[in-house]
Amino acid sequence: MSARPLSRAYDVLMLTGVFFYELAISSVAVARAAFARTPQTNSAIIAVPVNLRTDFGIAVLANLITLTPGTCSLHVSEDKRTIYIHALDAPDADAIIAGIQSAFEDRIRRIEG
Amino acid sequence: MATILTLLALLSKFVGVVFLFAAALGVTRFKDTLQRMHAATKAGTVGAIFVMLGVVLQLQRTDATVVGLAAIAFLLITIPVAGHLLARATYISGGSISGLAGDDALKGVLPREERPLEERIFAQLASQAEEEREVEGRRRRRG
Repeated sequence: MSARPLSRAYDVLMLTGVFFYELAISSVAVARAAFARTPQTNSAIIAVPVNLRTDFGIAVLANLITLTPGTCSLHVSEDKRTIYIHALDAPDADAIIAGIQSAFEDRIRRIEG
Repeated sequence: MATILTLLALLSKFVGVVFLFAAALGVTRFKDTLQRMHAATKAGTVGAIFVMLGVVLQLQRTDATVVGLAAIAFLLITIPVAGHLLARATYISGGSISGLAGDDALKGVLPREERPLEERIFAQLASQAEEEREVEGRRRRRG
């Protein structure tokens, strides 16, 4: 499928690395919120546009979203163009969308080929 | 070498327990189900992973390592799916989203019950009891 299997393997490795990094950060954030005297949370439900071709890619993205920076995937729209997420602390929705796209979606799209 | 590994194992297990404690604390302290889901999925997964790593480091056997790493892999695959479905079910069945401060982008996209499940069950039980009392009353009047 891919003309460059080596670069795809590199992308998968990078995605795994970024994922564990983000997982660590988000767990610390959640733990800090749990230990805080008054939990500071501004939750919101946000629609994130996705541009992935395969179902597998969307499933991977939804899983990664649930385990990372203060977000939890709630619903994938019927046309598979939008993932609805719940953000634990969302002062700025656009920043969260941009973060998901740059951290995960672009890499998954490159792996999809 | 063995001492270092044992110390690492202890440290790893300690970190895992701290995260698991934070997860439990989050589950009891956050405002609504969707927020609690964050604590249960993220901090819970990381805590379980660290405990598992600690056990692997301590036992230092091939079979324990294989089982431990497989358990970690399956945790990473299954917990987000469960969290996703639980959160979605909560939203649809009308669970509290009182912690929501920002906008609700799902409004109108997914059907949502107006009252939480408990209230609906109690309302149904109450109306059933009412019906039974009516039937009983009618029977007594007849007899």
